[in-house]
Amino acid sequence: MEWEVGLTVKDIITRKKYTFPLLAVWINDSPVPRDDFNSTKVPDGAKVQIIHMISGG
Amino acid sequence: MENMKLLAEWSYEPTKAHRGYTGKTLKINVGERTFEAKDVTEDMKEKFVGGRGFGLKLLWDAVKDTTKWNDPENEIVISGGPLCGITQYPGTGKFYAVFISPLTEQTYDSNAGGHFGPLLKFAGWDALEIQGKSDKDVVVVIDGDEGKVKIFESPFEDINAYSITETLHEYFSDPNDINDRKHVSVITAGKGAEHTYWGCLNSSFWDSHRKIARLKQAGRGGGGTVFRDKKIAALVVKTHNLSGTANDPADIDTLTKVGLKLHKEIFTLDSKQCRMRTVGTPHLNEIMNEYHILPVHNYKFGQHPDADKIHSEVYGKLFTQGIADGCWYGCTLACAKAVDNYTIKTGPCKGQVVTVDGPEYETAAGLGSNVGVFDPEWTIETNFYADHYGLDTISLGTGIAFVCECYELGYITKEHTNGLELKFGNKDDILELIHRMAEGKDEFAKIVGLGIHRMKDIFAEKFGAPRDILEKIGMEGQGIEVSEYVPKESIAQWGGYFLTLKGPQHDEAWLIFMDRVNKQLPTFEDKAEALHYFPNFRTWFSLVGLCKLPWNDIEPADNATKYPPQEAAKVPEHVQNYVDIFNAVTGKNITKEELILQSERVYNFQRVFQLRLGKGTRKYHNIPDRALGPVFPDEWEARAEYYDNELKEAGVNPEELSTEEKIKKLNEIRRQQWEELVDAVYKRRGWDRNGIPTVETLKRLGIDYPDVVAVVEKHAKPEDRW
Ligand code: SF4
Repeated sequence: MEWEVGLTVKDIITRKKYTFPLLAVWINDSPVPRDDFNSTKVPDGAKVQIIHMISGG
Repeated sequence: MENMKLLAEWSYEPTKAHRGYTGKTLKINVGERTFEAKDVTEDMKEKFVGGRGFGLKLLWDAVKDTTKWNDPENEIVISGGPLCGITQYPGTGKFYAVFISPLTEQTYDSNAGGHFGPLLKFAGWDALEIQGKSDKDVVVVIDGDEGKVKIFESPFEDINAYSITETLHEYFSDPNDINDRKHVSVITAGKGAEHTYWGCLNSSFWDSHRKIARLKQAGRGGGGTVFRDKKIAALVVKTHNLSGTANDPADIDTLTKVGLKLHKEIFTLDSKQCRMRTVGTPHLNEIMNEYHILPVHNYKFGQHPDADKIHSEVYGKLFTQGIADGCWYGCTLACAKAVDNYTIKTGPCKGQVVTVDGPEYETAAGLGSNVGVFDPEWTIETNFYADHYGLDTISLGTGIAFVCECYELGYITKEHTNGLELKFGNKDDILELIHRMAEGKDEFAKIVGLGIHRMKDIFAEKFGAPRDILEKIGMEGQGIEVSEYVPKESIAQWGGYFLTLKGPQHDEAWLIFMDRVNKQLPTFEDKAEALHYFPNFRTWFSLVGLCKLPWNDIEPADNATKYPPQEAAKVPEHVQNYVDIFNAVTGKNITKEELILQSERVYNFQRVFQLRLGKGTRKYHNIPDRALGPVFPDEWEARAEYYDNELKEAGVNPEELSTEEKIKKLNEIRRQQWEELVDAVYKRRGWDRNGIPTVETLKRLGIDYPDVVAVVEKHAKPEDRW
């Protein structure tokens, strides 16, 4: 995914169409609290991991 | 209701529960009309814990190697487990029913909420075995107040669930106090259970807000069919021994503290997480669609443009809001949503205004997208009739989806279906088929009710349908229909469904996100580890009487930041809660590792039990092609980019191949991957190449009882050792 100035965790989630509510995000191996997805900026070249926790089933 | 005619009666001294156990089990033979109380030994508690563990142990002792589902010695064993009936922690009212299944011809376990499990224990019994076959319809009553078990001749002409449940709540409670009906719970099946192999058990609970009896289902495996084969119209339990401390827990303070912590979590976070309290499990509808996991047209596709019509918000508006919909006291997750004031449009109840329990996700998908219907009102009506007739909505949805595909492929026609046009989405004819299945007169409806496994034989042998295609598209394993998630894009979920003890039900492992989306299980060993841990962890719920949902349909706010991803998926804080509440009730001191060990014992015991009944080897861990990938070109084309990439990753250039060739190639690759997965999982579980637990495994787990070892030694071959 192309990085751009001001890119947030929430932007990535929206672009990837991740609608699942129980997402966990790590930027450069540091966790991002779910309440901070909107406000957390993603640095250029960062390693971003988005994990879907299990639910349902 | 007229007085019922008493056929047999037996008295007992109800034992109060202590540390979660009464120490007694009850056996009723409805054929011989005999009764027996048995003691629970310390070894039984240690090795089998309770619930499904007790069910399997008691069934093991009751049947022969040759027992079939409809032999009198087959039993339905019902047991909650030591945590069943506590009210301090959410999700603690489940019972587990164990029986030899008509569909799979091996042991099956199926669970239900409602109040039956707790009331059975508080009436004095850790487990109930029902054996024998009555010559006439009976109502069996366990009265913990009087200390009596009675068998009555059933006065009911119509034994369908909604027709008799409310009446029995009323009959066995104080006529001057409607709230007294909460001291009664009823298990029923229905005409559909009698005439098909898809019979479910309905377990009731008195809804004190609505002032009606409501139903939860032990849906899967055909337990309701066994129930009706024994000619039981209803099973009633009654007791006034009902309180938050009726289990006499060892440490009520810890129990209360841990419970409060989860209640707070639910109140604060559920509205931001899964919204279980407002929409229940249908919160999954749109998510599954988004991720290509929603079964559409017999699992052909994982997504549909009309999925918005079955969005959770649509269901949220149909469900009554503002009522605490817990199916047992203290369940603040409260996902047992209901549709009130629904006017029935078809069938024998046409015109009646009813409350419909559900639909849950599985029903919304099975009797919705999978049969090509995107009309929640229709799903609600079908859900009502499935419960009323005692039919499992999952097998019904998947089974009818298979029928619809066969119809659209031209393998069956109106001549076979007696005039029904069973195309996907043809909702009137599909519902008419369900009415006919319950009636039990129409020959085609009877064939459908035998399940996909047998339909494949009949469609091929009698109707001339091509056997190879039926095998590819029939979504069943070990004789039972797949539940409502498309597994074809997750190798680990192939195992989550098809390397299970009893067939493709999602109660062992749901690994699609971990495996496919998160890519957390890159190697076969990683997948095997997950297929060891999660089935064993989830088995534990069935031993102690818990509902799985409060484990991971709600998670602590810091779950995802406190733990590394692999650990976070286990919801470690909730696992610790389970250890704590188990110890607080029983007075024991287990660790989270011992929790897994408790499950692993029962898991392996059940595997040996399947072997004893002539199953339980590698050849029964079969998987249909459609679970592995696309079968037809339109299926491939719907996700062409994704599947083309799969080929590229395997070193195959898709551009040189036709769609048919690509399907064949991917299938070959995936068959190979499947075999590798089976090997890895068997190794991790301590089984041999043929899927049989080794004697060393039995010894390690402490279940090397002579009769268990003898079964393994009879079937295991030296050449199957690793
Ligand atoms: S979470 Fe839902 S199904 Fe489970 S116990 Fe609570 S209300 Fe019942």
